[in-house]
Amino acid sequence: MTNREYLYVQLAENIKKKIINGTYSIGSRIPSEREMAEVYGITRVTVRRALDLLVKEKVLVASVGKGTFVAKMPDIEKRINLGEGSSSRLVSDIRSGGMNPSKIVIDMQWLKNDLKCFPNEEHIFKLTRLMLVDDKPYAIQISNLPYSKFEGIERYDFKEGSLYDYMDNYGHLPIRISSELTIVDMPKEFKKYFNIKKKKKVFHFEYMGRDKEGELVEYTESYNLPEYTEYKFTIKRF
Amino acid sequence: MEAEKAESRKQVTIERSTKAYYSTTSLLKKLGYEYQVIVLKKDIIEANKLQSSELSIPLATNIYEIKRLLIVEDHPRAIESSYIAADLIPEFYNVSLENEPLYTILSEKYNIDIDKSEERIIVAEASKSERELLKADGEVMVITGKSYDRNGQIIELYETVSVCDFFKFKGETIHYDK
Repeated sequence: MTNREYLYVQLAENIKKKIINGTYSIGSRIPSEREMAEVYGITRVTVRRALDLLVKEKVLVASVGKGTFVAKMPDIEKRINLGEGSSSRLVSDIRSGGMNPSKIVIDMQWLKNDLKCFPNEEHIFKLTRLMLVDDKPYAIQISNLPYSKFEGIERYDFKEGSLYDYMDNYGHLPIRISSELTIVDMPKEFKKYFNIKKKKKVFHFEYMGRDKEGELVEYTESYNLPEYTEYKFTIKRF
Repeated sequence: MEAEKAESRKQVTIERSTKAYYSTTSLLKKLGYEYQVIVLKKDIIEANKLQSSELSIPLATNIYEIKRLLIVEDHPRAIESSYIAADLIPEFYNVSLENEPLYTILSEKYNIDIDKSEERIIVAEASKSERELLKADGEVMVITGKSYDRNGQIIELYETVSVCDFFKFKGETIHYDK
């Protein structure tokens, strides 16, 4: 069993562990890029990415010509659990993961309905938001709501307010939420929000939320960066 | 080259529930897919610090390391690794894993019934050996977990590394307090 991450993240975690267990003390110099590349059999580019990450986190400090030094004890790894125990509100789940959430409304509009899940709706309100953790882009969420249940929704300030609080005010808070998780390529149209150039696999969630009357009131798709995401659950065997 | 390989691979996606466990091979059978299990490793090793702590056994206790490659419709889809204390499954070395799910063997041969599992899914970059075995480039889905028997005793640590489109998970949450 291993801690599975991207190679440079694995190396960064390894360095952090060595700081925590005292192998590298605060103020000490860590091995050079070249030494680590040789020891671990990885490229110097990977080592540099790991060191850059830790310098950004202020765990290490680089001094030109002298080497890289331990600056402080690292924080414990943070991830957002979107499985069992999650609140179904991403902002709350980000906070539970020990990070600071914020959001940007990218687009909101009402459209002629072409979603089969809302067969009796003429129009759909579509809200697209970028969720951030510690001011870095984390997820893009596209929520579709039946316009007939939320007339005037476009006047609500979704940058400040919560979608679920708004839905609750109208008596249509999703109570029963079914979800589907797949791993997919980040769609081309969203890459720009994450500064992604190449193909990148991300968590893809589809949520169908039903209110207390059992009516479908929400269909949301969410694309979440894997670096911050985990999905935990307990299964029973029958 | 790798992208071409991936494109030529017919997509096979197994739908799993986050509430009820069914073995991957039983789901494959149900869906009518052809599959093959290749045992890559079945060795006794000494538990390292992490394994001994997770399995609640002393450091360096003998455990079985079982590694299997799952091939579906002629394409490798997942590498399944399991770690089980050797004293729970005596003479396991002689057991054939090619035709029966591991939990069926545990139940029928060793009277160990797995009652529940705790799982965690992340996405990670494939290692060199995983890229070779799965003939896949880039990222993989990694499912790690622990399985318990009916007495709540931990029986198995496991890790499943699969091509990203091999599993999808369906679940439901009900917020009773709202």
